Order: sequence, then C-alpha cells, then structure tokens
Amino acid sequence: MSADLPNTMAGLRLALRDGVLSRAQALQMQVDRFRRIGNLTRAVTRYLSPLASLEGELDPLSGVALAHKDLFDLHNCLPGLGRQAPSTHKGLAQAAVLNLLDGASAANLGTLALAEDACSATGQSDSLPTPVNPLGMDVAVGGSSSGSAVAVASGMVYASLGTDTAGSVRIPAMTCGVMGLKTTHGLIDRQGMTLLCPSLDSIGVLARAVDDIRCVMRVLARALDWDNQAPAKTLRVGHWLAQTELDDDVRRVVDPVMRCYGHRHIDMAQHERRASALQELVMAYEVGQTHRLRIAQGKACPQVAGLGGFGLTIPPAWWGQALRDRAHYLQVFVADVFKDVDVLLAPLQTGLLPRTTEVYLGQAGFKSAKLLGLHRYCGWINYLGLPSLSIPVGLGPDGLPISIQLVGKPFHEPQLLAVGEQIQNDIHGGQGIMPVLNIREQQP
Amino acid sequence: MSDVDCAQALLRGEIDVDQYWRKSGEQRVKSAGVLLTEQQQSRALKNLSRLTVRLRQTGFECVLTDCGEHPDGMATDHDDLQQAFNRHLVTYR
Repeated sequence: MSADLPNTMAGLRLALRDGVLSRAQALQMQVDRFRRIGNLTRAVTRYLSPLASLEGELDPLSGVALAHKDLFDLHNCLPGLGRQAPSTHKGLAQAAVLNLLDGASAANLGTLALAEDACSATGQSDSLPTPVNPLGMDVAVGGSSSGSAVAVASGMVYASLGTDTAGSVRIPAMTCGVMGLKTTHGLIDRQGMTLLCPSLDSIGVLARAVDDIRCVMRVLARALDWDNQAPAKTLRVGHWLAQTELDDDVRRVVDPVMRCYGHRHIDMAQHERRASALQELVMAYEVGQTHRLRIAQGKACPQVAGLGGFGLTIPPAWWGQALRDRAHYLQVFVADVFKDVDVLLAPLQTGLLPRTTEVYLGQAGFKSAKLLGLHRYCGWINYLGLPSLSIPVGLGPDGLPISIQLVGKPFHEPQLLAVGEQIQNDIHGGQGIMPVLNIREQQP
Repeated sequence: MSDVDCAQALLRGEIDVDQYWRKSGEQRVKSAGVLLTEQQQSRALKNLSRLTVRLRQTGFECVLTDCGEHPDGMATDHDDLQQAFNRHLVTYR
C-alpha cells in the first residue's frame, strides 16, 4: 500500500505479529492513505470513523481497514446507492455482511461510489462525481462497483465488497486491473443489502491479491472448507475460447494463458447463449419490478429507466419460466461442463479497455458496442448462480491490463482461488498486483 | 386471449411485439402505474423483439403457467422459485 505498509493482508499480519507495526499505527496509516487518495480518485461517498480493536488477540482481520460499495445498510444509516450521500436513519441495523467483518475486527473506513442503483456496466454517475480510474484519467471505470475497484487498484484499501448482478464486481475489477470474486448465489447473506435483481445479485470481493480475497472470504463464508483445498496443480482446468467474440489484441494475450493453464477445451457456446438470454430476461424484468415506482415517478436514472422500462414489457410468464428452468439447467450445465474439469477459464474482456469517451453516455465518441462488450461474457454466470474470479493475465498494446475469468461449480470458491493464486503467482508474483495512481488532481 | 396466451403467441412468432403490446403489454405496464413515453415504448419494444428472437434461437421452451402479478411485484411466486433454486444449489456443497 505504501513504503511502510505491506501490499497484502498477509504481509500486514506478519508485520503486526512481529511488532514491526502496531495495530494503531497500521490503522492510522491506512486512514491517512484512504483519505488522501480518496480525494484524488473521487471513489468515496462518505468517510467513516473506524472503530477497531487495537488490543488483545489478533482476529482474522485485525489491523485491516476496508471500505465497501455504498449499497449496504450501516448502523443508523441508509446507503446512498449512488444517488446521494448515505443518510441518517435512526434504528437501522447494519448489514449482515458488515457484521461479519466487524466480528473479525476489520475497520470500515467509508462507503464507496457505485453506478446509480448498481445498474450500469460503467461507473458513470449523473448524481455524484464519477470515480477516476487510477490506471489513467481517460480510462473508463467499469461498474457498478466502481468505487470498490478504484479504491483497491489505487491502494486505498486491501479489499472491498461489491455486488454482482451481471458483472458488477468483475467488470470494474477488469477495468482497474485488479481481481474480483463474484460468489455463488446465496453463499453470502444479503440481509441489509439493497437488491437490484433478487434472483441474480451476489456479494463479491475485490482485491489486488488472491490471498486477500481468501482472507475476507474465510470470514464471510465459514461453511466452505478453506483449509483442505487441494493444490492447484492437482485440479483439472479447462478453457473455453473457440467461437468467442474477442478482439485480436485481447486474443493474443488470452490464448496462450488459457492454453497454458487450461489443458482441455470445453465448448461452451451453446450454454452461454442460452444462459445469457435468460439472464437478460430475468434482469430486465426484475429491474422493472424493483424500480417501477421510481420509473413511474420519473425519478429513475437513465439506465434503470431504460432497462426497467423494457423489463416491464416482458411477460411475467417468461420470467417465471426462466426461473423454474434454472435448477434443471444448472444441473445439465454442471454435468456437461464440469464432468472433466474442476475450473473453467473463460473470456471476460472482449476488447482493449475502453476510454471514458467511448462508453460514458453523452460523450461524442460513444460506441454502444464497446459498452455492450464490457458485460458480454458476464451475465450467463449470474443466471446459473456460479462463482467466478476475474484476474488480469497480461497487457494489451496500449499497456493496459487484459483479464479473463475463472468459473467453478457452486460453492467451489476455494478451488477457484487456488487456481487463481497459481496464475497470480506466475504472472504478477506472490505479492499480487501493486497499486497504481496515474492520475492528477482534478477540478471539482 | 389471456396474458399467458399472448406471451406464448409472441414467443412462437404467432403475433409480433406490436400486437403483443396492444393485446396485453400496454395494459400491464399501465396497471403497474407506469406511463412510457413514445420513445421509451419504442425502445422497450425493440428490445423485447430482440429478446424474443434470442429466446427462440436458444430453444426456450415456454410451458407457460400464469405466475400471476402480485400487487407487491415479485413477492409471492419469486420466493418459491428462489427457494427451489437455492435448494438445488446447496446440493453442490
């Protein structure tokens, strides 16, 4: 995080254990850095005063300061949802997921920007400042967990919670060159989280190192077996690349990585087409239902009004059928795709990272194909409820990262992280990805 | 023609989105309290037409039963459907 703070939570834990840093020192350094860089990146919607245990036994996240997407209830405080700053609401209980992090002694430094109502593939906001990508002022920030990706990539925090309905963890992670885990649907309790699409929403974790994601996941998903995970080398890894819509610049980077780690090719095209169509149906329908009042009142942002307006025209019977088919279809999918592999490497990024002018609405150079490309290979995973880890695996000719995603069976997050860690170690090294800050001060 | 029949007919290509809109969609959107502008309606129906084609191409076999529109939106039926999926998901633990 800085010359004085280790880059990973494991490094910080060692420094605390060995007395190189005290918990109070570590926390103060993280607070200072969070505020300093937060003002540059515009990623913060509210700064909080962290409360954390500074004495006693080291809990799993002692001394670690985090910050999360502004979509979770706080004590006596409603989330801002990308529309406004969080607001006081007396008597409101904190979201379940934040209680778990509190219980592990993590400090919460603040709430982070997001696309309004978590409903966009970019972090562009009409209501609040749009966060700036630490990779470069002109590089678009993906959404909807935009602030989380910016905060992680710039070193403001070790890790951050986001949410993923159609790629909202993986897309921002990809555009900011960090890692993002979308968890199995239902694995992490969503109580106290504002839902966009109840059937598709999952909580996820963004970080610069796979082990940091694991540290957070150990706290959030204790039911999974994190300690007896088979080594990555013993896991069967496949890849899906044929018949995918990737630009040549991306394919040149992704192809050798997939062939290196994924020893068996799986043809996924038909499954992806079907699951993507059903995901689009379910998402549009549920956005319409969730936000119909705001749409009716003319208060919804353009993305919600557009998608939700479309969703309201979808026959309810289609939506019901898509959900009724879901379990059966997952069964067929797992039997077909995961019969010979434990982890599947799949495309995520279709083209070089877009510039703000190409994907932010209202810009002269706007290209709808670029915007659609951001989530082209995300939604099918949400329909099937699967876990997926996005990870940068190389650089394009523009010097910006190119990412793929690893997909596993439901509740097989430990396997995903094992393979992800091997890729990380080989490509980025054991310390994971280093923070970047290629931006300058902006006018408000 | 009931809403379910209209939905089925649209998916089978027996009616187009404009016919679907007149027979079923418009009333349902209005009863949700939403008045789409002409532009919004045009865009929504274009998307619906595109989705219909996608669903047909992927063999979305619609054995339609009426989900019933609950006054609270997705509340009733969704809980059952969600629980069924969750029960299936946990079999992979």
